[in-house]
Amino acid sequence: MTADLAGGLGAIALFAVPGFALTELFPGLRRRPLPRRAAYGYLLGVATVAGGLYALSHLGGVPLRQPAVWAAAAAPALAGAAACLLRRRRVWASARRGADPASPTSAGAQPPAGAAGPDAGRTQAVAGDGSRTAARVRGGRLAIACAVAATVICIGVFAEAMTNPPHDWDGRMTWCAQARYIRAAGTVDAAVLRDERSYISHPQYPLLLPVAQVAVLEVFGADPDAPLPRAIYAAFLPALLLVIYDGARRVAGRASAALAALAAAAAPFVIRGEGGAESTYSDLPLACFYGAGLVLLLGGRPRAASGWAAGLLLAAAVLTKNEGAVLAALALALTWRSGRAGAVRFAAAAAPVVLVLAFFASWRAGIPNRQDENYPDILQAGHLWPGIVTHVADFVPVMLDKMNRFRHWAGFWWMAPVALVAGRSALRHPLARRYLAAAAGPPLVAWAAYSVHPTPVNLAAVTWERFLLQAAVPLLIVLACAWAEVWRRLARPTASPAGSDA
Amino acid sequence: MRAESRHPSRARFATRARPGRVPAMAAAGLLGLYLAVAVPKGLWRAGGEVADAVDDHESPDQARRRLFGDSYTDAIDEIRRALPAGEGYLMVEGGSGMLGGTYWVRYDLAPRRAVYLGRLNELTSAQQVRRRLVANLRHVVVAFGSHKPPRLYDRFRFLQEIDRRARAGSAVRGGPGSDR
Repeated sequence: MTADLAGGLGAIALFAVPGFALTELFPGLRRRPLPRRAAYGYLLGVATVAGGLYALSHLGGVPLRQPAVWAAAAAPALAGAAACLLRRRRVWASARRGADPASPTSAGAQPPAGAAGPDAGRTQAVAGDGSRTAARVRGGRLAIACAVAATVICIGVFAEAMTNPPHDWDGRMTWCAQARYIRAAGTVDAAVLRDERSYISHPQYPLLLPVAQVAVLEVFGADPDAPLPRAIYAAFLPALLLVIYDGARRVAGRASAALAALAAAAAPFVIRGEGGAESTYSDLPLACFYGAGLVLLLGGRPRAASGWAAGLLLAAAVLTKNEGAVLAALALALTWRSGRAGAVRFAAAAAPVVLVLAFFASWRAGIPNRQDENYPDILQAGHLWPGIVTHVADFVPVMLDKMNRFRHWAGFWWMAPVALVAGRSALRHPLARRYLAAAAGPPLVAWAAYSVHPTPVNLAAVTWERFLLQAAVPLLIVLACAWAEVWRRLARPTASPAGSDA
Repeated sequence: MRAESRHPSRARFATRARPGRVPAMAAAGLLGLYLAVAVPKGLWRAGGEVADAVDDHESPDQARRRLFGDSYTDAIDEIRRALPAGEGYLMVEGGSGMLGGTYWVRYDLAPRRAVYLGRLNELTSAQQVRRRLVANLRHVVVAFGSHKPPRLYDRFRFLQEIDRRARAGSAVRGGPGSDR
């Protein structure tokens, strides 16, 4: 007998299948290549299935049991299947009417496979250029090599997750413990959370991931000590890498995007750090939801459908960790575009976030806070200023020490600043600047928290690297831009600037 | 944004002077070095994890024993049998708070509700403990550091033990199993 690998795959499928079906509703996601579509699908699946259960339990009193889980998984799956059938029916109908194959309706309804997406036009535009084609082939081979290496690392993470029960710190202290309480109670409003006397850490932390754990355990009727829920967290790693690749490919090209994804997969902290893929912390899921929302909002033309998808992902970020609300607001602010289309997309993205914030406020209103930092009170006490300056000398050395640890980062933070300096001219582009600002979001949240916290050194020691992880998607996209600039400089150092952008 | 090139790295290429090649070579070299060190390590580790998973013959209980030790797992299982899932208990921190002993025991005993009573070395008399009681729970679990087995007491026995130890002038240190 081997570890319960099949069970783990089933646990992932519980979210991936409905989420993948749901991508059918969003043309921008539907037209992406299969792996990237699957990554967004997985994130949407966790957001809708676990988020739906969270809402049903709190607002409707629906017990968190097998029937509810199946219903929550079936709803998006059926919606996606219905959308797929309708779309195909439209295509068949237009074909049966004998429509001209070149007519806008039939051409627009079913784009040829592989031609959709931002790279299609470029592929055709450069088809006749021999040197470009050779470079493209080299880039393609590099991307394939990176994909193979990253896939092996992801499989290793999945294997580890299916072999060992949760054994990390915060996972057992907070997230997995909460999952056990709400599973036993059958509700997200478990008495143990609402009773002030109960000894429980961070009782007001949002419960999206614990609800996802409960969904898996209920559907598979698993032993509470089984490592099955860890599969959910392991699957966030390939999702993260594919979102990085997706966002970076649009702005930096295939080779740099693949290197960015591999650089993330190779960082030991991303894999086995406190908050990484082999833990049951919520930092990696938050990085995925925040990053995927950003990529959808910053990529392509502003469309309401992409706004909805991004809004669902940012709403999931709100329900994943407390700082998710701040990051979702930052993502919305950074991706604002003027004009009617921009406003419509913004409204579509903001609506789920606002609804979820109201829902989250309603849920936590019934839970007395204890064993947690009360940041609103600390902020009201007026400690932010001058703490934001005077505490710097306390916590910055801790941050630098953490980033310098070879065992945690293998030199990632020695390499990244040099790349940013060398490729700095790429960072002047407004899109790169927005990603850079988005990457600064989580570290700024950390900075503010350390400035008001009574023991900033201790807090920085245990949380700083997790904030860096939360910024992974925009940060690596920015790095990909810088690397693309570096390659260009190294490949053609003496070429005339006029011919460089041919 | 409308008129911008999709590739930021190309956008200002025509209008800006190129900086020297040295920073670019340094960046490429460091990236290569980083990947050369980190990727093989990651692949090697992943290979080991996959081999372990394929050869894995453990039940969840055996995996717990491997990770947390036999004595800890036995103690947890014994407390789980003694305390029904719906029953709460009083939690006492018997070791250093820095080791997270109460967190691990609370997780392993969940969904049983824990009510924190305090640190063992701060509980100096039965009277003081009674003043701290906020819930009428019949059992006390004393958690120690990582991998050290927790101990289950009847509340009455625990209070007696606190008084006895206070009289003897020492901390509670009952033999394994003797006070359950």
